[in-house]
Parts: sequence; C-alpha cells; structure tokens
Amino acid sequence: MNRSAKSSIETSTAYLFLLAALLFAVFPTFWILSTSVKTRADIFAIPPTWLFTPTFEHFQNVLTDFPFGKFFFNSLIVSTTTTIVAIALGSPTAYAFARYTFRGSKDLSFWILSLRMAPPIAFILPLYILMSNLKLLDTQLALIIVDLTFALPIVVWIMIGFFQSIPRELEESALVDGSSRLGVFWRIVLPLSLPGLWTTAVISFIFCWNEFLYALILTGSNARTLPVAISAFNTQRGILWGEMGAASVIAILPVLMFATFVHRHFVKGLTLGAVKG
Amino acid sequence: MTAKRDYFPLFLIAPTVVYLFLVVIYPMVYSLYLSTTNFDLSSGVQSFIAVENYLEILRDAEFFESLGITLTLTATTVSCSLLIGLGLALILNRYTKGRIVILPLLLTPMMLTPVVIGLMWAMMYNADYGVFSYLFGLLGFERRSLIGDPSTALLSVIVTDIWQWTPFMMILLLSGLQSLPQEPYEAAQIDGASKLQTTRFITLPMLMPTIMVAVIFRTLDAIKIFDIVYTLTAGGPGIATEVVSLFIYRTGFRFFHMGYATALSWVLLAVTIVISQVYIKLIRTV
Repeated sequence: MNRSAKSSIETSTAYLFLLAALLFAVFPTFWILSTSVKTRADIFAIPPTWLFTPTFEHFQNVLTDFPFGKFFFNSLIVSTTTTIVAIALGSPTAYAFARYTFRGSKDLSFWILSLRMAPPIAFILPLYILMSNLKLLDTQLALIIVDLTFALPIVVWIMIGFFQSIPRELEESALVDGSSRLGVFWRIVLPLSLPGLWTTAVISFIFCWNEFLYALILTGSNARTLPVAISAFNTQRGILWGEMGAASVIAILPVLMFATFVHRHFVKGLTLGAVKG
Repeated sequence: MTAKRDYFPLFLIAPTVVYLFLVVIYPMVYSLYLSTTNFDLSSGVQSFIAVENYLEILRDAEFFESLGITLTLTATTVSCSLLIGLGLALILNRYTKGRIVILPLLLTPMMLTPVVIGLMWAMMYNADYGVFSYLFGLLGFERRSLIGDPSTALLSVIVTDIWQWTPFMMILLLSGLQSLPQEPYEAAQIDGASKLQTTRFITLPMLMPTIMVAVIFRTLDAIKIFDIVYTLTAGGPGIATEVVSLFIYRTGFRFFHMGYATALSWVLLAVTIVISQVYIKLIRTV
C-alpha cells in the first residue's frame, strides 16, 4: 500500500470517529428539542417520528398551567445578582492576587481554590439550618448568599488569568503620572479587562443558572428556580413529556445561546484557571 | 530592614475573604458540632452524643454500599471519559479541517443543566416510548427500561455522565496538546519514529501534567455527583444508584437525621481530601 492511500484511510477513519462522537454528543439535545415541539401523538409514536409538523402547545401549557414564567424569573434574578456581586467583590481580589505577593497570599488563593473541590452537600446541611434560623428559607436572598460560595471562587480564579495577561508597563506609567493605585485599577486595568469580565460573568451566570442542590434544599414554592421546577416532572408516569421537553428547552436555551461565545473559557470555570483554556 | 506593610492588596481581597469565611468556615464549624449531636430536624431533639454518629457510620452497611457505588461510578466515568476524550483530542489536534464547526457542537453537553440532562436521558431510556429501547428492539434485544433494571441502572447513569463530561476531558487535553513544544517532534521525525511511537513516547509523557489535572478535577466532581442521579434514577431501583451525596440528602432531608447527616458529610469531605492528597503526591512524581 502506498503512502498516500494509507494516509487517506487514516484520514477517513479519523473523521468517521469524529462523526460518531458528533452524533452521540448532539443526539440527546436534538431529541429534547424535537420532543418539545412534537404533538402528544408524535411523542409516543412507535417507531419514533423523525419528520413532523412542529407545535408550540407545550410551551404555552408550561407558561400558563405551570408558573414557569415565575421560575424563569427567579432563576434570572438569582443568577444575575449573584454574578454581579461576585464580579464586584471578586475582581479586586483577583487583581490583588495577580499583582501583589504578600504574607499568606499563596495560602489564601489556594484556600479559595479548594472551596471548589469540597462536596456541596457538606456545606448545605449547616447553611440550611442557619437560613432556617434567620427566616430566610424560600427567599432569593438565601440562594444568592449560598451561590456566591462557588461563584466568587470562579470569578477570582478566572480573572487572575486575565489580569496577569495585561502588561504591567501601562499601570506603572500611570502611577508615575500621579494616579493612585485604586485609580489605576479602576480607570486602566478594568476597562482593559472588559472582554475578560464579560466572559467571566457569562460563565458565572451559567454555573448559577444550572445550580440544583442548593436551590432544591433552600427554596419552596416562592423562590423555586427552573432546575428545581423541572426536576419535579416525573418521567416514569410518562404523561407530560411534551411539557417536560418545553420546560427543559426554556432552561437550556440561554446556555445554548451563550455556549458558542464562551465554550473554551468555560473550562477555566471548571478548573478555576488551573489550565489555560 | 523595616519594610512598611502594604495594606492596598489586603484592602482589595478583604471583602471576598471575609465573605467566604463567614459563609463557609462558620457553617462548617457549626456542622462539625452538629455531627456530635443526635439533632433531629422534625422533632427538634438535640443532645450531645460525642462520636456516636461516627461509630454508627462504621456499622452502616447502606453507607458503605453507597460509597462503593460512588467510587465505582467515579472510576468508570473518569477512565472512560479520559480515553474517549484523549482519542478525540488527538484526532482534533491533527485533523483541523472542520474543527471550527465540530468543536462547539462536541462541547455543548458539559454546559447543559445537569437536571435537564438527567430528565432527557430518562426519557430516552424509558422502556415503552424511549428511543434507546426502540433502537435496542431493532437490534433484536428485549425492550426494557435500562434505568429500571438494577443490573443496568448504574451503567445507564455512568453512560449519561460520560456523555456530559467527555467534552471537558477533550477540550482540556486539546489545549494541552496545542501548547506542547515542537522540537521533540522534529527530532523524532529525523530519527524515523512512527506516528504510534511518537504518540506513545513523546506526546503522552509531555501531556501527563495536563492529564493529571483533568483527572483530578473530574474525579472530585464525580464523587459529589447528585443532580443527574436525582432526576435520572432518584437512586433507584432500590438503592442501586444511590450515590453518597444522595444518601446524605435523604438522611438529612427525608429522614431528618441532621446530626447523622452532618457526620456523613464530614466523612465524605475526608474521602475527598484523601483522594486529592493522593493525586497531589502523584503529580509531584510525574
């Protein structure tokens, strides 16, 4: 076998693998999207229907029969507020870690990293009792307070990387010109880091948006978020698949929209910047 | 030398550190205290019983069962997603044509809401109307619920978890591959090494630190798995898929044994710390 024939076989095998992986990766998401716009008859048809006339009745049902508008709003408020607070508190912290070494700075930054590793169930048991004592159960505030325990470390660790990539010379020349260090951070560093801030905010938002365990334990009918509301659908009875599909699509749509912009940086959110994404 | 202490960085980090300290350390101390009591959430009974909870854990067969399930799940999902992810990363690193379209599609699963992932896989695994059991039927297998059968339930959870997290392995390893130095490859080419040899003796050893980081993060995440299991199987059938986090959740919030649940969560925390320490030792040796 000559060299070019061998390499063309290799290439086709490689792309065959990629195609298989692609089908496996995309199919479940495609299936939930299609379930959400199928009629009841099409959903339970055997063999499954691949071509059908789409219907939006399930989306209507989800928004009228169940208060999914309210759950969506709860998720939006909690995720947005948590992200804003995390950025406001976390980015100065990240800047300090990126630019200064002081006694204990290594230990402190590692401690913040280690919060990401601990099992959330260990945090939530005592926090539940504290929130209950503070009469904060089933409020958005309680969820925001608790969500910050993972959103803050995410923001700090991703922003350290962004701040380190800004050349120091700009800050030094501004200091020579008589700006204060806080002024340099506010007027020079932050504007330069705007793309990084946006990326970080989106990643923090997605983490809050997807969060389930804390919301399950801390919220009731009032502050319930989308994931908790969706988890209440029972698949075994199998009667509400269309509604389940529609609610799922409502929950994953914002993520799908953002995904294309941040997918590579998203890994930094998971590894807290331990690897360059 | 008397360097004046610089308070500016402390001023910048103070809000974050104080906040995290209050919301993490204080509850953890409280939780440690609770674990020495028999605090019951429904009756409000609370008296000091020292290490009785921890002794009880040692006798608790269901806890060890769920620990075994969690570790099986973790070992399987981490090794499978590492192998598949590594394969895909190697392919994507060499064959770049179409990557700009393929990559975002491949990466989507890791960003989706885990609760939704659990539900959509539950639909697909369903015995009567699920697309998987239909496809299995076409292949001549008996149509059955993959998540309703104790012998396949854990495997179904594992497949779903692999589906969500292989992209994470893949993108980490691909980034690692792209940042490897080129010189060793040029040397290998001059020496006439085959592609397989190059991968085995140059790429993999150089990629080892990235592989270790990916494995650590994936392991520590898999150990605390909750969302997918909660919506996919709810720990069932029986306790066939009851992972530790779910077991603790049930103990605390279904049976209200809060004292015992906090003791369990400290044991889980200890397991997590031991595993991460082992990994850190391993990293130092590669």
